[in-house]
Amino acid sequence: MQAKVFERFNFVVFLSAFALIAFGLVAIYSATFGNELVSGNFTKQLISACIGIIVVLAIMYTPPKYLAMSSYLIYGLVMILLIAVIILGKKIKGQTSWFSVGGFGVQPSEFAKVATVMALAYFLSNKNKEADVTKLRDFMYAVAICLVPVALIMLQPDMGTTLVFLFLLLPVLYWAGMPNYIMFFIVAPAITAVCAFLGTWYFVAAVIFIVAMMMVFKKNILVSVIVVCIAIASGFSVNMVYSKLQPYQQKRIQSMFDPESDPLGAGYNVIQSKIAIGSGGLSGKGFLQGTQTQLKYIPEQWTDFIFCMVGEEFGFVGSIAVVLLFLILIWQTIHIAFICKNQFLSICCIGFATIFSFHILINLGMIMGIMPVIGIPLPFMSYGVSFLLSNLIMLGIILNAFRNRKEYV
Amino acid sequence: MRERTNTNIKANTERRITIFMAVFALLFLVILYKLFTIQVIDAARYQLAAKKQYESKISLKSSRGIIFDRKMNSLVSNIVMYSFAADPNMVDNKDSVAQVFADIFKKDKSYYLDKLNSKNTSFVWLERRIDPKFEAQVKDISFSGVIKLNEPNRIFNYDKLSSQIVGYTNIDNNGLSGIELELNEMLSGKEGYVVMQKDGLGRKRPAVEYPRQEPVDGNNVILTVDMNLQKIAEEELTAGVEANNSTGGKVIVMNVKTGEILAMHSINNDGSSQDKIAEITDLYEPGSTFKIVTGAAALEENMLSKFDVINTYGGEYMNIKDSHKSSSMTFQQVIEQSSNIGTIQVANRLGRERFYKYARDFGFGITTGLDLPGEVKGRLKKPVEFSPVSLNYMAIGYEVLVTALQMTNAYACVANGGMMMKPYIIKKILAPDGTLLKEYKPVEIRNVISKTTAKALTELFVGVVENGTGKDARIENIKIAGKTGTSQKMVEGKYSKSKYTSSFMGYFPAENPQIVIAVIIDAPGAGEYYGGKVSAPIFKKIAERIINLTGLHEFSAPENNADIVLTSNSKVDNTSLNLVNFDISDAIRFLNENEIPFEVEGARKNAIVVSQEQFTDEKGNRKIKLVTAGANQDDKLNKDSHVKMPELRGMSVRKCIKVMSTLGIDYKVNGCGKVTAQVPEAGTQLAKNQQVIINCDPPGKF
Repeated sequence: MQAKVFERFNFVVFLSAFALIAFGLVAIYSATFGNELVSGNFTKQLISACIGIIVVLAIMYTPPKYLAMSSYLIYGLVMILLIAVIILGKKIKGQTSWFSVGGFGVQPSEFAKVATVMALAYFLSNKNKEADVTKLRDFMYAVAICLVPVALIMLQPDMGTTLVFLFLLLPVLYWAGMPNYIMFFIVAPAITAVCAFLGTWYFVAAVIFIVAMMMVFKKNILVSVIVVCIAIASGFSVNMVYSKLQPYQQKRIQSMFDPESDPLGAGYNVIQSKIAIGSGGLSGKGFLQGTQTQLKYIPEQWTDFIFCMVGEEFGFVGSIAVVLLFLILIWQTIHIAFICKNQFLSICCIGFATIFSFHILINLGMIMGIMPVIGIPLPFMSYGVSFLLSNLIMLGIILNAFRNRKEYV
Repeated sequence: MRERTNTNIKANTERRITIFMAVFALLFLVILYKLFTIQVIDAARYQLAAKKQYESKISLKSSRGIIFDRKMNSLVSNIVMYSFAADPNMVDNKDSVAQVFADIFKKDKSYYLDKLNSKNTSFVWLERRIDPKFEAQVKDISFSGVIKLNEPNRIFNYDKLSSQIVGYTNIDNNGLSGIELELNEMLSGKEGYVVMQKDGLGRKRPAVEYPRQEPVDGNNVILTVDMNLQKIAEEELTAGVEANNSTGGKVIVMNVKTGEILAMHSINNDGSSQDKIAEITDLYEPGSTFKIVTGAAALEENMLSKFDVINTYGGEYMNIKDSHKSSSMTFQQVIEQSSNIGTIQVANRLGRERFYKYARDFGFGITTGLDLPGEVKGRLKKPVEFSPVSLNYMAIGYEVLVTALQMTNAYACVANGGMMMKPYIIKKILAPDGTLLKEYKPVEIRNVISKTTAKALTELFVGVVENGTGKDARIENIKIAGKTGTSQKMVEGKYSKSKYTSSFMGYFPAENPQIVIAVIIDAPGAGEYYGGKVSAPIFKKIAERIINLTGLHEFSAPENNADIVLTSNSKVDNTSLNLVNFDISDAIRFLNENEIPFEVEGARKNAIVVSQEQFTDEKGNRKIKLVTAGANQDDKLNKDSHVKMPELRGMSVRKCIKVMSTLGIDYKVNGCGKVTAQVPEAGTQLAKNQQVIINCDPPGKF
């Protein structure tokens, strides 16, 4: 009996996820301690987590084909919500990404991440149509599924979140069988763009690298030249795009490279978060003893900067624990993607693993000052009912994939 | 086909999963590495940064110590004044704040607006230490971000009385001058503090892990100054400076027995600071008051007595002129009339080394060590630095720079029987609860001259006031000893013929001196410029008021040494006139000038007076008889003649023996030093071959 439970239920994923949620609750409790304005956040998050268990189990036990079949429906509904939020949502700090539903804020863009992965997975695994991403038409379909929410979220505007959609496309396509060289064609402009932003010499180096790679792939000259040209154009256009960014985002990007340049403005959060985790040292200052956290040096720490609390009050030991939990979760998810015979669930797992990884890397990188501050929360830990629920839905689907890993349909 | 595709995918997926894992692992390694760097390697740096930004100390001001006079009147105490500051980030309505302040303090609105718009600060002063007259208007000021602070400030309780001594504090209540500066640390106490935690929004709250450090109030200081005397000194100096139309002046009142400064004040209308303690910071050439050095030295060295006659060259000698034209004077007259030439003769007999030694011993060229900031040591040339005429000029108070306090202390030294005391102005330091922390006691510096010399010198100074240049200082029924001084001021490198420093140094009562008062007036411009005319009257007024107020007894325990009767007659008294050893021709000239009848026995030329005798001639006139010994020295005194016993007390043994042998008296000396007793008494007719007995004691032992 016990063996059978382990056979159908991946405790490792489940427990590491809920350990992270517990860590998150402790952190939210500490970060909102003594702050009347947000003292309800801990309770809201706790209720969400409890409801979340039911959601996880419900999804886990749903037959995979129902999940797959409802993908387009869910996708469509979420897209409607994304349109609705632009018209009806609350404007907070220049962004219109919230509905208020009975005291709980609902953020459709969080659910859009799940829905998009599911829609993509469903499209790429549809047995009747035999989608082949190496064909341009199917490739364009897949890209379109991603770009619809990207476009809608850009209208909010929430650039950070749109990046999630762009990044999740790559591993999903790769997993669905996209050849290496095409992957490289897609990635090349991104590489030049980032390098161009960093500086002329980075840009030159990137271009040389791309030319070298084109020689390795030995595709025909015309394709190679086009790829290189696009990459170079992308590099040149990056400054133009930068100038079109929201001022607060420009500032955040600037301050990413030099937080000290604006210590009271855009660089403030990064300086304070680094001080927080740095001053935590090896073993931390102890629960509720973190001066940075308790004295509110980091604005709205319970959302994107929740990891500061862990770093400050539980130190390097606590940080390592959290990172290891994330590593286990992602490693397990990728492993499930590998062993799961259901193509839809497998692609979902890869998509979710990408979403989690992207969030973790950007979030931790931003807290440590090596990534721009673009409003990406930390999965399972950051406060946010919609975000937590969307994470738990993904967890449910991952557990579902594990449970039904031996079935093709 | 399908199977093959599946196998393909399978093979593919394995490679792809490896790539996935590798990429994720790599990215996570970067994160872990960075975490390790921040949290382990650089932790100390971040911990410091955290501490720096969240901890802030709020100081708790201590109350500054009170400064009292010797009778516990508080000269200066504390008052709390309001100050306004603002946190520019927290002020909502800068315009109306600026308007309200501009209306009350009558300043431009932009003055406040500029302050309120300061960037990168959370603290700007708007108004500090507002005048109490605005208090009612500012009582209701209440804006967000505007802070009202209580700041302690100093206030003089008696209309700035003794403000130079007490000194001032700056806006942060730290001493700038006077006692406030000298004892700043003692008076300030220790600030306490509360460690506050500052949060990210700039709000503060007490940090529990640090105990509150209560402030320690400053210690109280009791001065030797007497408020009433200070008031007299300040008033009379001010009146005197005004009456003489002068650019300034200094007055010092000091307790002779202890060296306590009882009052001290200066007026500096020459453009320098009114707050400076010019009595110790400013130098001047003292003029005739400096003759104290020559006088004391000559008497101490037994070179002469006050009756010894000194050649004054008819009032002109080596470019130096005296106002009186006598050809010679007794030493007493030299001092009383302040003869420059006479003094120079005596100084030359002393020589450079001895003159320098006494000047140094009187404290010239070195600081007195008064416990106030800024004292200078003046300038006293060393004998090797003397030019050929330096001694002449220094004897009469030029080529030497002194402070008023040095000069005062030299007179106090003579008044105190030759013992120099260290001047001091801090009497006691008390803890805030009244316990005595430190008491300053009189400190003897050195015995400059013997008591006998001091008394003899005092007698001469009494003569100055009774008969000489200091007559204007005379007070009914009180014997004043004093010395006048008038020196030409150095103006642009030359001695001015119109700018003088006029001074008077005096002490009383002469029988048992208690108080020394120095009055120095700079550049009197109302006609009179002699110290005796300018400063002596001011001295007199101060002395009279002090005597009326205190009756003198309180300054020290009475010392019953009023045994010496001070002679005050200026007229040369032929009973005690000493012309022995004088050139007979000078003696004759001197006696003629002073209209003293005399007879000479022996040669009237190229001879030296070997003895003198009083007698009354047939007409009943008292005459003096001089016996000379000249070329025919062997023409010895008649040993059989009856000789009267001379007054020997006070003479040195050496001189005594000389006198005895000249008179042919058989004698026996017991002890050494100075003659303290003799048998028989002076004036006794000595029998033939009668042996007299002389008892001596070393100086200083009385």
